[in-house]
Amino acid sequence: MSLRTGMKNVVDIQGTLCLPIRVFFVKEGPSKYMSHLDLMRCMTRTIRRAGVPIWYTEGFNPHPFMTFAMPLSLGTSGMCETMDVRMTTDMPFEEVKSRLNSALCEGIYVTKVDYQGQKATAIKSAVYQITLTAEGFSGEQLRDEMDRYLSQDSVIVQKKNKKKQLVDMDVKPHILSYDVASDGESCVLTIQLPAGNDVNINPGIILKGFGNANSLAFDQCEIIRERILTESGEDFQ
Amino acid sequence: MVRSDIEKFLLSVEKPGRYVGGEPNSVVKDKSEVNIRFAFCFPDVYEIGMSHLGMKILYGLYNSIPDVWCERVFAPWPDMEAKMREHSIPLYGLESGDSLKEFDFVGFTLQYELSYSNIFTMLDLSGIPFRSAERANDDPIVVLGGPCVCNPEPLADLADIVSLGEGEEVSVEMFDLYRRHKLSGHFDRKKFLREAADIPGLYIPSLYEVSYHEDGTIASFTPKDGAPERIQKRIIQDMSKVYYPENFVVPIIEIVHDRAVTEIFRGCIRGCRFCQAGYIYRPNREKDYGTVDAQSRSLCDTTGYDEVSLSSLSSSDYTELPELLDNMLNWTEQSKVSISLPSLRIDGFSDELTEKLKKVRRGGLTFAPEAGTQRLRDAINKNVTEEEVLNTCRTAFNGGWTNVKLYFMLGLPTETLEDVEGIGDLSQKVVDEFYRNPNKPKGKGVNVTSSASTFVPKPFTPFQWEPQDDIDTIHRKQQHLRDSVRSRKITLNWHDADTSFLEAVFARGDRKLMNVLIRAFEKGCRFDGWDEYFKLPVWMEVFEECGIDPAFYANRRRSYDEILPWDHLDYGITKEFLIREHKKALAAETTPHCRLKCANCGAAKLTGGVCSVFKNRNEKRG
Repeated sequence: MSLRTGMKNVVDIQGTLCLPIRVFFVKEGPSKYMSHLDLMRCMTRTIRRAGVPIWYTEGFNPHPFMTFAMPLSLGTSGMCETMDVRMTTDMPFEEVKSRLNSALCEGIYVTKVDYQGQKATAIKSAVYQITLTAEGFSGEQLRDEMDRYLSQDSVIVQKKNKKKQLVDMDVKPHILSYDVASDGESCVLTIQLPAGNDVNINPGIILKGFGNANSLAFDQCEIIRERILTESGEDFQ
Repeated sequence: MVRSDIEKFLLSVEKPGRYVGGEPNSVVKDKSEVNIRFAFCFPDVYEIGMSHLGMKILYGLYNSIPDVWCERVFAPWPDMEAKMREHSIPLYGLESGDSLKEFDFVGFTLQYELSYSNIFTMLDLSGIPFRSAERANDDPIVVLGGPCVCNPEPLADLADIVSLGEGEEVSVEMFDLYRRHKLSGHFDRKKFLREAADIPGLYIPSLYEVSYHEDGTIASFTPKDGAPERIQKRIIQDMSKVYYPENFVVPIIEIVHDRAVTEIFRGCIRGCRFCQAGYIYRPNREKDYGTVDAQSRSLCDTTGYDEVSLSSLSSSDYTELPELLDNMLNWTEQSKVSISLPSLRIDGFSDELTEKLKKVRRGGLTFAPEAGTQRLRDAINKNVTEEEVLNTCRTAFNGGWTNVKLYFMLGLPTETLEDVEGIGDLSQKVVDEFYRNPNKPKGKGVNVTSSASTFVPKPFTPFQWEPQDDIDTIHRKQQHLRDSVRSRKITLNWHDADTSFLEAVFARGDRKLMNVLIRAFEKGCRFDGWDEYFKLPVWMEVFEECGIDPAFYANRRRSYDEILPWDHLDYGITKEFLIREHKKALAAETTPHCRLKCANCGAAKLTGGVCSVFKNRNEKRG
C-alpha cells in the first residue's frame, strides 16, 4: 500500500512520501564481530532481501538513508540498538519486523519497529553488563578486586585523545553507578556510563585499567550494552 | 556458529569476523542426517576465498544434495594461526565449528601457485597427514581442483584425488561412489580410490609411478593397477542448463568482490598465447542471455546485493551482449542495481556499447594490450593494434573518462629492449590522444596507469616450453621501462619479479617439489601471495636444503620431445596444436580467433566432435 499525506508521521522528502521508522534490534553472537561499517552494509542488504522499500538518497550515487543512534564497538553485544530509516510504503510494523527477522544474519534480530520517538541527542548514558573470568582468580576474588578498584577516590585509566595519544584520565566522576556480583566462576559488573554526543566512556578502558592495576589478563571478557538511557533515566525510544 | 573456545581471544586478532560464520544463506544441516561431509577449503584468507565464484557454485550444488553437507574453510591469517596453536584449536568448518578431521572430504581449490604453502598450514592445523600414503583409512579424502590442477604434480603426493576441469557433474559422481562404499559398512580407502580412477575426470596420483632421467627430466610415467593412461578433464556441455546457485552466502565483513556474480560463458575464443585460462577452459560455451538475466535477478533478490558482475574471460565476446544489457537495464535501474562488466577487450568497445555502458557501472577503464609493440603483440597473439587501442581511448575520452589503466607483461618470449620501450611509448600515445581530443572533459587532466607484471610460462599454453627470464633480467627490463617513461601523466607500476619466479617453479613443477613445500611450511612460509609474508630467501634456503635447483623449473628451455609433468592429463587441446602455435609465435605470426577460423586445437572432442563455437553459431543462424 502506498503512503498518503495526512497519515501519521508521513513526511514529504524531495517529492517522495516517507514514513520515518525506528528499528530496535539485538546484536550478539557472531554478529558482534561485525564492525559498524559492516553493520551498515549488512542492514542495507537485509532490507533489500526483506523487500521493505526505503528511501534512497538522491544524486549520483544513491544509497539508503539510514542512521544508527549509537554505534557499538567491535566485540560488544547490544540489546537495545536502533536504526532509523524512511519507509516509502505503508507496511504494518509487525510485518516489517518479521520480514527483517527472516532476512537477518545469525545474532541480529529485530525486537520492535516503531515511529521515531526521541532524537539521538536525547541519549545521555548506557548500562553495560560485563562478565569476567581470569586465570588464578575465583569469581569472588575478581569481584572483591573490582569493587576495591572502582571504590577508590579516583580511578585513573588511559584514554586515547584526538591526536591518538594515550593520556591519563580519571573516570571516577563519570561512573554514574555500578554493582559487582559473582556467580562462582566469574565476576559480573553492571556499570552505567555516560554515552551520547557530549561525553562517551567506553567500558573497555576501565577494564583495561583494572587489568593493568592487578596485572591480570582476562580469560573471558564479555561486554553487553543492556540499556541506552535518556536524561531522565528512561530507555531511549 | 562461533566456537566458544575461540571467543576469549577472538578480539585480539585482526578482523575476527573472518572466523565466526553465521552469514545469511550459509547452510547448517543436522550432521546426524547427512552421509557426506565436505570441507571446501580455499587456501587464502576469508575475504579472498569468499570472492571466488567456483566455491559459491559448488557450495550451493553440494548442499542441494540432501545427504551432503558442504562447509567453508579458509586459511587463518598468521595472527589467528598462532592463537589457534597456542590454544590447541584445530582448523574447523565455519558452519559447524567441527575439526576438518571429522569430515569425509577435505577439498582444496588451487587458484594460484603461491597459495600452496597455505594448504600445508591448513592440513597441519587439522591433524591430517600431508602425504596421501600416510593417511589412515578413516582420515578425510583430500581432493584437489581448480585451474592449477592442470599440473597438480608438485602436490601429487598430497592429493588422494585430483578433479580435472569443471566440477559440477564429476563431484556428484564421486559422491555417489563414496556413498556406496561408506554405507557398505566396511570402507576401504584404497579400494575406493581405485574405483574413483574409473570416473572420467578423476586422477588418482598414487596409481601412477614416475621415473626420472639423470638430468632430472621425466623418463616415464606409468599407470598401475589398470588405471587409465591419460585422464581427460570434464566440461559442462550446456551452460544454460547446468546448476547455478540461487543465492550466495552474504559475508558479514567486506570481501574483495562483494557483489552478485553471473557467468556469461566459459572458455575463450581468443587464444592469447601467454594465457593459460584461454586454453584450459576450452571450448567456448555461452549461457543464453535469458538465463543470465533471470539468474542475475534472482541473485540480487536473495542476497540483497546492489551490484551484479557479468563474469567471463572476455565480456565483449559474448554474442548476445546488447540483448543482455537491454534486458537487464529494464529491472536494474528500477531496483538500483548496477551492472559491472569486467574483462572488456579493446576491440570490442563500440560506440553503441559505450552508450549502454554509461548506464552501467562507470569505474575506471582498463585495457590489456599486454605488449608495447605490434611485433610482440603478434607473437603473443594478442590481436589488437595500436590504432584500436587509441580509437577505443578516443571513444572513452569522448564519453567522459579520464582515467585509463593499461596492463602489460615483461619477460614475454622473444621480448627485446625495444619492446620494453614500446610500453612507455604506447602509454604516452594514449596521453597525447587525450589532449588531441577536442571533446575531452573540461578542466580535467588524464591519468594513465601502466602496470607491468612478470610473465610466467604456464602448462597447456604454447609457451609451456619457454624459459622464464631470470630475476636479474627482469630487474634490468623494469629499470629500462622506468627510464623510458617521462610524462607525469603516466603512473608506472610493476610487479615483484621474486613472486613470479616462485610461481614459475610451481606452475611447471614435478613431484620432486613436494619435499620443498613441506620444508617451506616447516620454515614458516605462509601467504606467499602477500608481499608482507613472501620471503624468497627462505624459499631459496629450502631449495638448497632439498637439493633442488629452482632454475631447472623456471628458467630452462624444454624440447618438444621432453615428457612434461602434465603430459598424462588431457585438457582437450593437443600438443601438436601447441607446438604449431609456439612456432608461429617465434615467427610473430597471428592466429585468428575461433569464430573467424577454427585453429583445430583439439578441444572439439570434448563436445562430441563439433566445437561448441560453431554449434552455437549455427543454432543462432538457423
